[in-house]
Amino acid sequence: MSLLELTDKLIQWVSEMARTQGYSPEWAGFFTAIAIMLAVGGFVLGFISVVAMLLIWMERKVSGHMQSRIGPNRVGPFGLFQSIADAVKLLLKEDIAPKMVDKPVWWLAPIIIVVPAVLSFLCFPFHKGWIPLDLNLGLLFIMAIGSVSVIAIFMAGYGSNNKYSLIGGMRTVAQIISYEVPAILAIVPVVMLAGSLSFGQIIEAQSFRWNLFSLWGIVSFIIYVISGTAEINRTPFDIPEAESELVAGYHTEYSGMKFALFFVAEYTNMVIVSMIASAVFLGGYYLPFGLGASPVWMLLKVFAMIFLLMWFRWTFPRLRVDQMMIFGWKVLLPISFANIAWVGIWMALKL
Amino acid sequence: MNFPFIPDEEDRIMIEGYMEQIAFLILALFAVVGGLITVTHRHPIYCALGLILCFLSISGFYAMLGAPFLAAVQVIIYAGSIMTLFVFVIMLMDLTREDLKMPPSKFSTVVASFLGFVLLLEMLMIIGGGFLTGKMGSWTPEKVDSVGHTRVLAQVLFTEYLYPFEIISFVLVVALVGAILLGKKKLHLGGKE
Repeated sequence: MSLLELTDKLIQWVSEMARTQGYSPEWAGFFTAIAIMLAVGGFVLGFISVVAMLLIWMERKVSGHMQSRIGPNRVGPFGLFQSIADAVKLLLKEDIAPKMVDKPVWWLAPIIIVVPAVLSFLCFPFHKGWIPLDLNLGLLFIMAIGSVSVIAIFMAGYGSNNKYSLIGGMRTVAQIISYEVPAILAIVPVVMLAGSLSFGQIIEAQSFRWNLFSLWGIVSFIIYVISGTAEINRTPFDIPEAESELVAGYHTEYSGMKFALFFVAEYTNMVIVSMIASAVFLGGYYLPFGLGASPVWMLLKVFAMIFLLMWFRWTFPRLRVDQMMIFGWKVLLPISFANIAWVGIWMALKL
Repeated sequence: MNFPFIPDEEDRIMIEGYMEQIAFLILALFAVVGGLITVTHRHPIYCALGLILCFLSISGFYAMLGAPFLAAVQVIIYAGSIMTLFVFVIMLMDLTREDLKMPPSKFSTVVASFLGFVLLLEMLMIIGGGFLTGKMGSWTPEKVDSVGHTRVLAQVLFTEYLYPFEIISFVLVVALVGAILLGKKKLHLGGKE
């Protein structure tokens, strides 16, 4: 059943309901509009929750095997239902609000942090023509939306009214704003060569040769993966929530469902960063050298990228704050500028 | 809309129109509430949050008006600048709960009410003169769509408006140099102490 038929069924069902309740056609249309918006929102929220649960299970398995353990193996086959059990536990947990927190800010932070994660799926390129909305400037849109999450993290850090959380929040501001610059600059050469910011056109430009198969492509890819890891606060850049220094950083004071929302956002952002890396550098749904195209390759690439990020987490030690800042501004930024200049000169010579 | 019915193109357009209206109303509500919080709240952190709420809603308006580039840039720039504002509030102002309960000084109340009154008068004069309709430029929405939104912007910015663009970047560089000068602990001019 196609998506259009599905929405048509929904429209029929809701307007039928509105008619039996004795509402006018205008009101029926209004209710249908609200129903469609709620249905889409609910679907995306459910989707990202399931993906996050799957990834949490995956991370525990990966970390277990990297440390010569087995990981979760009791609940369900291969411990697959462990995440569901955890989710039920988090849902049923008492919601504790510390006495001295800045209530409105503290309450809103976990809600706001999910918003960019949900919105980013708007441009997820599953397959040729299977992009929910192939915006003219999809890449810029995702980058812009991603920069909103820093506000939520800072709100959590500030609203908790706790020294460790505040330090975590301040570190996040410094880190995300610093690493956003190389992350965007690493993508600029791709945009220059493809001549477009839309995911569809960038992937079409790689139908034969991925962007990774060139010197500038490798450099851009490495810069993007490093700064992407930093933007989603994962080890070796998990300075905002460094356990050994800051208890749990910005989410120290959260428990139950609020904590779960931070978790969902973290894993969804991981999917988004992997999606951008695979769409922009790894050819999206295309195999190299015209060997074929399928949404399966896209998903496989995304999962390979997620595995890479998990591999980083369990094998690298955490950076110090000053090392992190120096690495971002004095190493990644000049290299990405040199990379852009190199691609620009190459384009000028070729034309 | 007739019952029972199979939705046709007309019904879809009607429902899309409703969705657009709902989105507009939500954005408008957020923009107004954010603006009100910005000007009325005593706590600077809340003011900054109200400001970002207002700006994000306005970027939603840009997106709905067919200016997606402006919307994206608005989000990128203001998300970063509001974070800087937060850091300023925390690092430089060092507020306690007692500070916030202090009544504002008489001087600032008088000046602020005078300026607010002037602004209100100006707005009333503009609204009283009928809503202004801008002059129609050479770039119609259809023409922009045919070339590509970002491409049009880049072409116009780097040809027609090159000098203003360069002057603005020069001003920004001056501001950067000033910030670095202020941030230095000791100045070493001429290489010698």
